Amino acid sequence: MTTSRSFLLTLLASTLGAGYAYQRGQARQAILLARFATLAADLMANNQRAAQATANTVRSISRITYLNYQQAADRTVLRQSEQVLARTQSLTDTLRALRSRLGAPSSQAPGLPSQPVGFFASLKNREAANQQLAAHVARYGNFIRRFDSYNELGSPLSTALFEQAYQQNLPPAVVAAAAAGLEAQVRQASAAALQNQAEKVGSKCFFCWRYVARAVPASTTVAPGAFYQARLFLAETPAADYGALTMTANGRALAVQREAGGLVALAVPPRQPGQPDTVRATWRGVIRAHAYPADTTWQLVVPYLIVQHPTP
Amino acid sequence: MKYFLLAALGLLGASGGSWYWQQRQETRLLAALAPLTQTLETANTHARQTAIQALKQLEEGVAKNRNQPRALAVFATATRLHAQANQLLDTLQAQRVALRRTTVGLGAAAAQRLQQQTATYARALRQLPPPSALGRPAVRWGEVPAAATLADLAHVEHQILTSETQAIQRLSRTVGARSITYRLVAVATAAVAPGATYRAHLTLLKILIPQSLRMYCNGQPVPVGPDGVGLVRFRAPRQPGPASWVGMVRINQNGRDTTFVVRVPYRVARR
Repeated sequence: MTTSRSFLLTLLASTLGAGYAYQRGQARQAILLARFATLAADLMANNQRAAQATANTVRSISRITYLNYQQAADRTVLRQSEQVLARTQSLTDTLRALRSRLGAPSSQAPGLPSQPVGFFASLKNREAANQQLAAHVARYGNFIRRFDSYNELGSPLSTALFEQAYQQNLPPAVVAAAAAGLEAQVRQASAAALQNQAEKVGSKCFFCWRYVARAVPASTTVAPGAFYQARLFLAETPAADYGALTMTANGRALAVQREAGGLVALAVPPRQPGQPDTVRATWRGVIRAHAYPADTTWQLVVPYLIVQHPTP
Repeated sequence: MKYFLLAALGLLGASGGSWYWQQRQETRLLAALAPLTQTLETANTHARQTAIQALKQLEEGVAKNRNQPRALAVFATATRLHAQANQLLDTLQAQRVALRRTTVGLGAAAAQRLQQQTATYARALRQLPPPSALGRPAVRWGEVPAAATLADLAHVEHQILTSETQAIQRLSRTVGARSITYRLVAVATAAVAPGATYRAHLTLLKILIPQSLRMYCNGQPVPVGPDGVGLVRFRAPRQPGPASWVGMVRINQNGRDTTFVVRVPYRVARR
C-alpha cells in the first residue's frame, strides 16, 4: 500500500512537473514569436526607406539623362533602371500581399497570431503557391545579376525559410517575418544594381541648372489706367526633378523644349452669328512626370478671352 | 484505483508528448530566427553607412555656411553623438562575436554593461535640440539561447542606427545646411494674339522658397506669400504701346546676399 502510494505521489509530481515545464515552454515560445514580429517590423522599416532610396536613384538617373540632353547611352541606362525598379516592385508587391494575407500590415507586423496554425494550410494550393514564389524569386535573381558589375550582390536570394515554414508548418508570425526578410534581400540587391547603373550615367554636364527670377502675368495686355497683375517668384530652371516631361493641351501632345516648356497653339473657332464681342474660353493643360514608381500629374485650366476687335 | 492510475499515466504521457513537441518547435523556431537576424544585420551595415553619410552632409553644410560658430557647435554635437553611437555599436559587435562562439545568451554582467551604455546614449539623444527618444532595449539575459539574444542585439543595433541618423538629419536642418525648400507648379504664360490663333507656353516651374526672401517691383517692395510667390499689382500707364516693369528677387543663402532681376514686357492697349 505504501509502495503504491509513493508511486502515485511520484506520478502526480511528475505530471505536475511536466505541466509546469509545458507552461514555461509556452511562455518561452510566445517570447520567441514576439522576436519574429520585432525583427519583421525592423526589416519593414528598413524596406520602406530602401524603397524610397531606390526610387530616388532612378529619379536622379532620369534627371541627369535629361540634363545631359538625352544621350542614347544614358537613355539605355535609364530604361534598364526602370526595369529594375518595376521588377523589384512586382516581387515586393507579391511579398507584401503575402504578409497582408497573414494579417500583418504592410510596413509593420505587430500582433500576429501566435498560435501554431500553419500559414500554408490557409492557402488553397500551398504546394503551388510555394513553388510559384520560389520561381518568381529565381527569375528575379537571374535578372538582377545582370547588373552586378562589381559582384556586390553577395549570396543569392533565398526562399529556404519559406520552404522550412511550409515543410514544418511554422506559425504565421514566422512566415510574415520571412517575407519581410526576403523583401530586405531583394531591396539590397536592387539598391546595389541601381547604384551601378547610376555610376554609368555620372554627371557630365558643366552647367546643369540655374536660379532665375520669373514672372507670370495675369495678362500680357492691359487697358490704359487699369491694374496690371503678375506673380513674381524665384525658380530653378530647367525644372528637371523628374527628368523629361510629357505635356498635353486639350488632350493633344505638345513638343516640349527644355526651358520654354510646351508651346500651345489653339485655333480659335470662327465667330458665330449672334455671338457677343467678348467670349470667355478655357483650355486644359496636363503635365506628366515620371516620379517612380508612380507617375505625377499636374493639371490646370487656363482661361482666356476671344475678342471681336483685338487690340493691336 | 486502477482507473486513477491509468488516468495519471495518460496525463503524464500527454504532458511528456506536448513537452517534446514544444522542444522540437522551439528548436525549429530558433533555426528560423538565425537567417532573419543575419538579414537585419546586413541591413544595419548599410544603415551605418547612411548615418556616416548624414554626418558628412552636415559637415559639408556647415562648411558651406562659412563655418559659423553656431553651426560648428551643432556639428560638434552631432560628432559626439556619432562617437557615442559607434561605441555602443562596437560593444554590440563584440558581444555578437562572443555569442557566436557559444549556445547560451548574454551573461548578467555583459547585459548590464550594455544597458548602461544604452542609457548614456539615450540621455545624449534626449539632450539634443530637438530631443529625441530611444526605445527601451529589450535584450534578455540568463537562460536565453544565443540565437534569440543575437536577434535582440540586431534589434537594438537597428534602433540605435535609426535614432542616430534621424537625430543628425534633424540637427542638419538647424544649421540651414539643407537645400532650399521648393514646390513644383504648372503655369501657362499666355500672349493673346490678334486674329485666329491663341499661343501660350505651358511650363512646369520649380519655385524656390528660401528662408529670407524679399521681392521688389520697379524698386518698390512686393508682398510675398508663404508659398514663395510675390503678388505684383500696379496701375498701368495711360499711354498706349509697349511697356515693361523690372522684378527683383533678393535672397540670403549661406550668409551671402544674392539678387535676381527679371524685365517683364507688356502692352498697354488702345481705348
